[in-house]
Amino acid sequence: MAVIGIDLGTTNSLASIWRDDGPVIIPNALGELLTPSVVSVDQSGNVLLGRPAKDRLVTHPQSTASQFKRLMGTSERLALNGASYSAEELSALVLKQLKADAEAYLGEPVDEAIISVPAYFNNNQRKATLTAAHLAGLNVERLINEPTAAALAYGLREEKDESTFIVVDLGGGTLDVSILEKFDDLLEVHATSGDSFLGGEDFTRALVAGVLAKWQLGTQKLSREERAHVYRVCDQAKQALCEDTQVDVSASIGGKVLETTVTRDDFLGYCAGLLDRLRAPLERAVRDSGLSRDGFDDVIIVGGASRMPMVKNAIGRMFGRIPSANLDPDLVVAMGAGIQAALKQRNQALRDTVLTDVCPFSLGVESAQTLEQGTRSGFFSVLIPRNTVIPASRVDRFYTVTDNQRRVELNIYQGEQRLVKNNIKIGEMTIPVPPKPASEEAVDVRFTYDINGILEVQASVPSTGVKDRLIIQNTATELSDSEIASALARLDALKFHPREDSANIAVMMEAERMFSEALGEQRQFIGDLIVQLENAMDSQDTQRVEVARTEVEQQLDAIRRHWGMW
Amino acid sequence: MNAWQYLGIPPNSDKRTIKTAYARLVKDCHPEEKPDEFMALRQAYEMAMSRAAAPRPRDEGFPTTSPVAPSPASSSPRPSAEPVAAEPGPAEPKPELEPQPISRPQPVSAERKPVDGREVRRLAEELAACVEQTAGSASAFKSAEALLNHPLLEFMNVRDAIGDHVLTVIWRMVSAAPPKSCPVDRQVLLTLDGVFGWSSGFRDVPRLPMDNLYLLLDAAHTSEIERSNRLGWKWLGRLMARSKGRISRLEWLFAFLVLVSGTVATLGIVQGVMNAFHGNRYHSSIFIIAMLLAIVSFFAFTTKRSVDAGVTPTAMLIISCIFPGALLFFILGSPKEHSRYEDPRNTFTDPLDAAYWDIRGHQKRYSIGRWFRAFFRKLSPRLLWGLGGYIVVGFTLSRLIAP
Repeated sequence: MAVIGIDLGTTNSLASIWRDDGPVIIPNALGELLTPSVVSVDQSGNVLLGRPAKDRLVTHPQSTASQFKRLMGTSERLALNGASYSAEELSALVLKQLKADAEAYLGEPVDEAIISVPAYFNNNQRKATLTAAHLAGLNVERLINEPTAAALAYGLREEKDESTFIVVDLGGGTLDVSILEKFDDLLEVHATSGDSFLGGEDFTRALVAGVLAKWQLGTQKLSREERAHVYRVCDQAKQALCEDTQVDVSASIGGKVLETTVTRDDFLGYCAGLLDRLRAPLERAVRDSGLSRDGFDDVIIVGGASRMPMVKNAIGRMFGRIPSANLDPDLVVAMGAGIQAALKQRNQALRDTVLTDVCPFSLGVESAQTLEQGTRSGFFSVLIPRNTVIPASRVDRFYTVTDNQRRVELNIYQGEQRLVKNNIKIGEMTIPVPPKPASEEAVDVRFTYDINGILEVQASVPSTGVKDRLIIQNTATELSDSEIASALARLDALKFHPREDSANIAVMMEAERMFSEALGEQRQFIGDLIVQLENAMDSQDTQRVEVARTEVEQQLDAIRRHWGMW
Repeated sequence: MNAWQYLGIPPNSDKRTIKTAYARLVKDCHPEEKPDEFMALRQAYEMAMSRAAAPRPRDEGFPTTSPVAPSPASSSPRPSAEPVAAEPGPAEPKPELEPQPISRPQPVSAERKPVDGREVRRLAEELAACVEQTAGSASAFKSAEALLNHPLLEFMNVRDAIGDHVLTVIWRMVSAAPPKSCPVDRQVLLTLDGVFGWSSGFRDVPRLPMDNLYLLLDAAHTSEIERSNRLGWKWLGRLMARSKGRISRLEWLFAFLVLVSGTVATLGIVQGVMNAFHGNRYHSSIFIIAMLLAIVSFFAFTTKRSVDAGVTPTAMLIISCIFPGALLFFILGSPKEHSRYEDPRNTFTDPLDAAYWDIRGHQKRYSIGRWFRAFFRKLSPRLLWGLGGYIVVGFTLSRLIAP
């Protein structure tokens, strides 16, 4: 039975598997490695995923959802063609697709996977990811942190026996930083930090805002289709700016074609605020690791957004060296997840490799402190500080604060702030104590955080021997069984196009998207192509469809070449 | 069994030896399979590493006690378990020592200039002086913003050191300030916190009451957030829904006015509609319902207010039934606030705590000027527009529809 590694990204998702000599990325039905994390529902209720859905983002934005990873762990729902879906359900659809692709590629059933999540995902977001996997019919016992996965992919290639390196993962929606040390076959994570709301999509948004400001347009004035169109155009401009120093942006808005030129310096100006936000997580990781900024053997950048020269430069300036990106930044995390899957199975080739990870957040309880003017509660007492190697177990003693106190309430939090109200509450428990004068009665609290991210809290009163325990699991328990059953039923009721059709549909959607973006003569021409392909598909003749599709594909390519970037 | 025995290496080995031993042992207690053994190993490892990081006085003071110990410069990867290994040492280290000084500085890139200590000190002093002079007002502090963008602050260590220094200065200012006031403006605190990141970490600065300072910083942040908690629709809803809780005299008066004008406007609309339909049957019943609603809300506000004023609500209601004028006297004239809502700054002696309440924007009472300023700052324009529009539309409708 195969275990695959999945990188469930904000923009793109992909899966990989360990083969005899290394991780291999699994291509999807279209033969591509990256599957865009976009879900769309068409008029007849069929679900589209990946590239065809991404094309529909321009033509039918109201029935298409993207970037839902950012909503993981929240109760927000996205409306698609009338029905509303949670981020978990949409992610489940993407996972289902990846699973189907892997099964087609491997020729055997896949029901276990390792999914990578941003290291800085909190408890709720991790739980939501596991729920999504459950809904997709995947058994996921382990989530791996994205920078750790990237480091695994790099670490295994590393020839040197001993090296310390920092991995900066700037993906579509999240930033993660990890500092790792490789020693023999031991790969040790020293520190992790990040920002779960900073990624490549934010840079695109900044560019959109800048371009619209140049055209003196506000986002409110545009229709959803136009907004999606501008977003797509800017996304491509952003990618082009990685190579060229300036790029022409043109979009048809309200029947008019607006044009402008964006230079790298313009783009840098739009993104100055975002680049500033890069610094704090990097510094925190360096500070936590106790190393100096110059002490790294390598600075590795991964994630699609790290292709941008300004990001490379910013990170390079911080460390005084050129960051390296030897592997394809889009694929590294998935490869690492594939390696972790093999590690988990204790694959022979990786028998001796040991990976130790850290917990990304501090864990602790709320406590009261006696200040000069009296006792005040709401302070956060940390039991397991962030970046402790897991599994870890720590114990601390807490005393009663009032006379004749009868019980002690333990509120369990995760976060980095001194005051609990700024942290995230993940559980609570109450333990009775015998009434005595203040601070004469104590409670021992033990936190045990295991490798799967399950936190066990044990409280005991030494004087009475009363014990209590609470397990806060990182498993998909957020939804009740009935809720999961109903979500499963809803997902099962969705219709999918047969796998054989996926290539035709992809071409069709692309043609439709280009049709909606073109004007005049070009539009007419693409319209004719669409009719041609539709006729062929209606004939149900596989041979004819094949021929028509190749023909249309070639024509579209020619259009793209001829009329510039689309 | 101590940490050294657990790792199977001689006590006070160097870091490399400890790491090698750890890497060897960790394969037998894989964190996935034997978490307990792994935790014990990890503890031993961390203990050994912290010991190795600490300076060893033995190296300088008593060379005779450890004839076997090789000089710290030769960092051979093999643990020197047998004393014989030290014998051929003197001949070998020579060629090994030479490449070392060359290979060491390599990772440090040449472009990076070392930080000048005097420069840092000067910047810290300038910034501290600036904070001391201008922290009282956000506009005066604008001049310090150039200092906060100083390129030296890009260096983490420099920023930490200067941040600690500035925090010490702030603490000194707060302690020396007259009671019941905070000498540092909220906006200034927020700006400084944004640069130095005090409130987002667990760093301790020696000799400073960090918990109190964090409360102060938190107060600066929260009053920013709690700006929405003012005389708006939500506030009005809460006032209606809960009978207990705080309501000041001014708020009571405002709520009362809203109530009266709202009732009048509603009645105007109702009357207009009724007249338009030539039916008078529901007129009186709707009028009675509206009046009942008004009376109930009025009692709710009044009960709240009487609790705050420290008067028993029942007594207040009985008295007000007999002497309606006494009610107004109680509500508007009673100077006594309930002890629970007394100005907390009166009870605390700690200057930091007084500053905390000041920066929280705790209302300073008994001053008409402050009242009105606070009142209009708190008043939500949306509520005013909503109510005003409602009343205007109500009156216009009743004028238009009614003959």
